[in-house]
Amino acid sequence: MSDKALVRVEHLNVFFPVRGGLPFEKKKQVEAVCDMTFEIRQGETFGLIGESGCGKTTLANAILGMRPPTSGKVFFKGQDLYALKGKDFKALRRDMQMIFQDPLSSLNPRFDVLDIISEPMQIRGGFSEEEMEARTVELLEMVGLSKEDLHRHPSDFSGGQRQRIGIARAISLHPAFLVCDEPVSALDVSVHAQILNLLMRLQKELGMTYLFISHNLAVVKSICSHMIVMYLGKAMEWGPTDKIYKNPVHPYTRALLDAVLDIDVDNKKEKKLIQGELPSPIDPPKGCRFCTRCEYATEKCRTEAPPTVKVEPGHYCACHFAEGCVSEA
Amino acid sequence: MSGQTMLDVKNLKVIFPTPGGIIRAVEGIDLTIDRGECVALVGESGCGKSVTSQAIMKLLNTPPALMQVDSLQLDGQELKDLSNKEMQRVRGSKVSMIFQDAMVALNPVMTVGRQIDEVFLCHDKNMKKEEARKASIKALELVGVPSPAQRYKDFPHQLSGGMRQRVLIAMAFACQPQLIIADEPTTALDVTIQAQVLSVLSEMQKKHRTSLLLITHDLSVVANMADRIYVMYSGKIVEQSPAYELFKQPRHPYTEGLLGAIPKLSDEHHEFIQIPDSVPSPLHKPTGCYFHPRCRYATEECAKKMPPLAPCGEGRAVRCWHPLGKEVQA
Repeated sequence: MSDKALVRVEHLNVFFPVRGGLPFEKKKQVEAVCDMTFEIRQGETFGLIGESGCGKTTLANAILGMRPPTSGKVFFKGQDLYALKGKDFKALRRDMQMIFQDPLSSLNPRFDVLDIISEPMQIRGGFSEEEMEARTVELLEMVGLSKEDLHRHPSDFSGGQRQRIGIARAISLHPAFLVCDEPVSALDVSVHAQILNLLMRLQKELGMTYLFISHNLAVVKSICSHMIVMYLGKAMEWGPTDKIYKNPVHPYTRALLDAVLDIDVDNKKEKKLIQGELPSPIDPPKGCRFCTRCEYATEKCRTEAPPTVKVEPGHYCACHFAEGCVSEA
Repeated sequence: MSGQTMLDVKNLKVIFPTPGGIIRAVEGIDLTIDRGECVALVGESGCGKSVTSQAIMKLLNTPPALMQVDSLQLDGQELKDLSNKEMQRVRGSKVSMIFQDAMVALNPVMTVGRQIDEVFLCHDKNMKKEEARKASIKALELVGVPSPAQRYKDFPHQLSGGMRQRVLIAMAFACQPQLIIADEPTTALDVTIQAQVLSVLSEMQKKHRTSLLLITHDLSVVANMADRIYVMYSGKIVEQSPAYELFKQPRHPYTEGLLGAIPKLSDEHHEFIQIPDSVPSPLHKPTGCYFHPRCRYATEECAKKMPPLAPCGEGRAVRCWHPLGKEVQA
């Protein structure tokens, strides 16, 4: 482990028990996050990619200390997050904040902007009313809103502006680590660029580390240095972003890349669309979890869990056939 | 025009009188769609796309909305003066709609099968329930719902987002209408499922030779589907063009901005191109060209006078004093 790691996740499992079933039947469980291990370095943007229902948000919640894992450990700044209690936990937790996907449902409609942004400061305590207001104005200007917006309510703003308020609230206590859970997928395409540029600028100015969750590979490409492609709770392919884009090995990664819509009308590529949908995580397929939708799946894929294959330095893939790609490359 | 024109809208205006002032949501739009053609209406949230689609379906509540149109023809039939009852017969059988949020558009306490049955039963009074059931299962099968006979009995919450959207598509195509309006059909979906749903939609459209009006804010959605594109901004059409030419050379700065905002896999830069600010409030629209406060090419002239929608090149028109790519015209 390098000493620059801000967040380290070790063999993290998050399972949810399923209620019901017969009395003596083996209890079923949803394997939302299954054996995830990775580290996020200081100052980088780490991408977490996958479809809805693959466990991205559960993983983010576990990292933030909001969802105690079934097993495994989360280290933040070298400290085991779930070993801390009370005050120590709160002090550490203060350094990690979150931006949510839906900016409307994550803002209290009865609060005005001042209340929303200064709430973290109120909870922390030690700020006077004037200090909080001054800091709020400063934050508003940082995210591209103005002092006049101080006493308006979330319903007065457009989607992009609401997301800016969410960002201002998240950075109000100078966090070191920010989880962005699909921050742009609820917004118009034209506003995507504004919010992403804002996030990148703030990262530079404040030296924050991001965990960026998305299902769109085109968004992740230009902002993340490392990424993990996740499917049904398991990591499929991980490594430096540029290497994965240059040489995607896992069939799922390739399918995700193909699903990105292109505006290049001149060379229409024949695209292989991924068939079907995510199977239920209650009864995940045996062997490789992707086998039900994978066009290359063989008998081996259905029975044996795939090994982790090193494709190139730092770039790993969990697929039975990844080794073939290594020799190709 | 020949009998090929499916939908012909002339000078559509919709206003909403509010206590704060009059909101001019749609300001005189002309729109035509040919038989079997896929036309896209593109613009940001709040530019009047959805109001336009609802006005064409005559689904707007009047009051509060006030709608005015010179002519609204569907397959040669004038819809402008139809009563609500007569309109009810047209909706579903001749023109139908696919909504953005499938969870909201479907009735949560009714099985999806019964909801598709309804479409058949409403438009064919002689149809028996059993026949409707068979037709619904077939409709589900056509849009690629696996084991349709079982899904027929499911409630909307038991289906995934992609499946729900397929159910809506099945409903829309049920009575084989001549025109389908799809209002942001894939915005709520993942990229992988989005690609699937779009391919189903495009396949169905080709098979039935239906005309399709696709409403979206994402130009990448329509790049490989639409034949022609209308770009809308703040209640007005700012550019209309065949799809291929639009992507090759956008003429309006707004279109250029929309194209630039799409993240691309081929991008190497680390900064996204953005259009500054957002759509102006419909209560306080700027003077002159509505886009000029956000336009990087704006001049003094732009702030004073609204440019006309002037034709430029084959089948194209642009509402701009300084259209881009002049050299192409020459």
